[in-house]
Amino acid sequence: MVKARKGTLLECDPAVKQIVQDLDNKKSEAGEKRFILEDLDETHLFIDPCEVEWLQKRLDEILEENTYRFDDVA
Amino acid sequence: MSSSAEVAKGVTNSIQEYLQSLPRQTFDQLYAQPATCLATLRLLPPIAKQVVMRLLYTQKPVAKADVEVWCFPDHRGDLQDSLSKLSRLHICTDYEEHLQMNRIFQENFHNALVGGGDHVSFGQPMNDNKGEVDIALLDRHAAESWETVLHQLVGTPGDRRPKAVTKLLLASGLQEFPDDGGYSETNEHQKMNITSKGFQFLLLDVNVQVWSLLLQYLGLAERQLNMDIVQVLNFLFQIGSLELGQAYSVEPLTDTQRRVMEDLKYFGIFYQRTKKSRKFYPTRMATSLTSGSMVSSRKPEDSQGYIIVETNFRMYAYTDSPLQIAILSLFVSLQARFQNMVTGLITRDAIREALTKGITSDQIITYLTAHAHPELKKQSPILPQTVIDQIRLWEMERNRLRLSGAWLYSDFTDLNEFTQIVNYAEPLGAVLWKNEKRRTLAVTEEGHENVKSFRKRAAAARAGGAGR
Amino acid sequence: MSCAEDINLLAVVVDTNPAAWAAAASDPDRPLDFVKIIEQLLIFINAHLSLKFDNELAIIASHADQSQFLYPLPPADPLDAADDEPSKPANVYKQFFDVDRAVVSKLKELVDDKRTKSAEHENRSMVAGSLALALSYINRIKRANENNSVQSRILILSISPDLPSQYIPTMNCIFAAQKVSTRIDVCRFSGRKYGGESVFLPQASHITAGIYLDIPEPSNLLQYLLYTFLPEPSMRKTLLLPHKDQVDFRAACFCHKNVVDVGYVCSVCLSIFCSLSKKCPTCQTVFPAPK
Repeated sequence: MVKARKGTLLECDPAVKQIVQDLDNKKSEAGEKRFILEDLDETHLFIDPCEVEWLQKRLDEILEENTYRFDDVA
Repeated sequence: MSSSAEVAKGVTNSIQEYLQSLPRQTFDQLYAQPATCLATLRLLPPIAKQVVMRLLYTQKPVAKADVEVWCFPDHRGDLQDSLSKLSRLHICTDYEEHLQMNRIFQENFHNALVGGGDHVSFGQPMNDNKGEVDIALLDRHAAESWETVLHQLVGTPGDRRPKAVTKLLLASGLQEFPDDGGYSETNEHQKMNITSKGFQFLLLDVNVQVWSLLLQYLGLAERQLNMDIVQVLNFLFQIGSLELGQAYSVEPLTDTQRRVMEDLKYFGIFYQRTKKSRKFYPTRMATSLTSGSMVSSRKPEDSQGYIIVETNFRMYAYTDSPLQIAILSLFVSLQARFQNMVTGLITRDAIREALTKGITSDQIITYLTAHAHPELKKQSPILPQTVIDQIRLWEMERNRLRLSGAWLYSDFTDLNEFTQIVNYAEPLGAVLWKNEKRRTLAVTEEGHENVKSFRKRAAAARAGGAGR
Repeated sequence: MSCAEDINLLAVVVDTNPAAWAAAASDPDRPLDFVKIIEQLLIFINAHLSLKFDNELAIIASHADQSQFLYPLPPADPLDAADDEPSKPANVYKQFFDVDRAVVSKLKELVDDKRTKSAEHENRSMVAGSLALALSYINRIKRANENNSVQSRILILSISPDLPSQYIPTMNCIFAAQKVSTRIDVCRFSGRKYGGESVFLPQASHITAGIYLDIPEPSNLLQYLLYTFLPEPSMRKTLLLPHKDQVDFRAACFCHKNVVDVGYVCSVCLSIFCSLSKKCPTCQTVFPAPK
């Protein structure tokens, strides 16, 4: 039977996808529910729509940590 | 093409688009004024201008086939474009494979060329007895008025807030009230906030700014102020043919046109000594309005660049104008201010803040390039490549992930069924992602409804077929 | 590279040779009315100015013994005195008004000038001098506008016969025009009693990639001007314009103004003669006698 699921399609580059999958794993280790419903391909993921907001915030935080800033260096 | 030429083309195109949106009857009234005919001619592409000139003194209709051989074969496409523009602007009509020039346009253009006809289309000059108003004063007035308008937009403290300007800024979507309400007597003193469109507007070239406000004014005049659009347009085209530094009489202007002049005074397009004065002076902004050329090319002091950007992302701006500093603070983290200079750093945070306000990286780069210091302009590319690339990268950072609500279809037993649904959904633009090997498909939320009913119909057809 | 944003400079050289125009007026087949010709020329000039707000213009009269600027006039000229300047009526575009007024009054002045009365009967026109004036003006405008590129061209309205004594100056002007990429267009009037074939002017058009046109029907002059001479240089590769197929490259001999196929050429100045002489009349070089 053909299955039809509602969710959110996430399109990104492979690096971000890795980060998202890592977050997903950490969540599962902490005993919480995973939010990745399906791993589509290198640049696409299908995720649970309820977690979208949390995911974006968390992702922004991680990307911020990993940016190079030169203004403090100056 | 140089960037100033591109801007000119952009301005011309937007004016043409506006004119093409007008109904046919309006054109007959518009072309009754020779100044409008002249201004419209100058807006046309070169081939169209030549066609107009050739048909100007031709009485009988000219066969289209004859016109087509005027050009070399490889430029026929351009000729066709020009002919269609001419017919959309109702200068030439296309009737039974013959081209005929609009009689009204023809007659009034003749009048323009030979200086005949009973009209006051080109402005009635008056002598300036007191001799106080000279070009320098007009330039100053224009610059100050325009800066005041921009100050009002940015929200820097200033005392002059003419109603006409406020109304126009609100109507063109450049400013909005915090409660998103309209303009009314009660909230007219409330402080307005600049919108994302407003931010982008600030970074535009001054000619584009003037024209986009004028086009908004035209729209406003039509919808809200009940003004006769023909008179307004005629007036605007007339001022493009006036001479800078010459006084013109208010007498020949209609009431509508006088009102337009009152309103546009606040934008620095006109100067009038007092409200009741019988004469008015067009400023440089007015005279170069319909010329399609750059105000800056005639005003060397204004187009002098003042920004220096270094490869280490430091920025130095040799200016003390609060407006320019306010604009710079939109996307640069200002660090120190001196008497004649402001220094800052182009930081990720500052750029990201600008990006959230709706300004694009292209606009920032264009603005910096346009106002670059002459020393910087000697090198190529004008801004350091590292800075340009980094600004673009910071913009791309914000687009790292794209989210869209979707329905995932999987577990298709029958490949045919899968292909059928894909072929149905793709032309609708509903397919976000598909993978044939895994027989999985993602459709948009809107597409889901269509696909659902399609599947029902297909299943019914199969059941009906199988039942036979 | 020419492009649509350039400033277009048109320099018009009007042949005002009184003797030729007088002959043309009384021509039995195709009489020409000088006033009507000037009227049509002014409309053409206004058309040129109306195409773009920054189109530039210069008009030079090529008279029997002098060349004069008709427009623009030098600032100190009494014609520009602000006090008795007639105020512009509201139905005339200022630029057109200025040009028309200047041309008409200067022409009147030229015709009334007592000094040229003596030269009136000579059937000649100082084309070379006018070309030189035009080229200097073009050069000045080009220098003043170094940021924008200026597309320049010269239009000669010609009715006088070629002057053999002016061969060298004319040719020099033509080559100078070629150097500053200025096209020379020629509009030639000919009838039974006036005009006639010109040998230098078609060469001018040919060398500078201009257009040479013999006007078959002078009453339609305006149409010819608008069709052929109005398009600016950047439009010339788009529009199909007439060109002279066969240019008479034969030179005229300088002694008798006969067209020669074979002649003697001075090795110094390249002037052409039909017969041998000891001294070149043009550059005064003495030739050694043939041994």
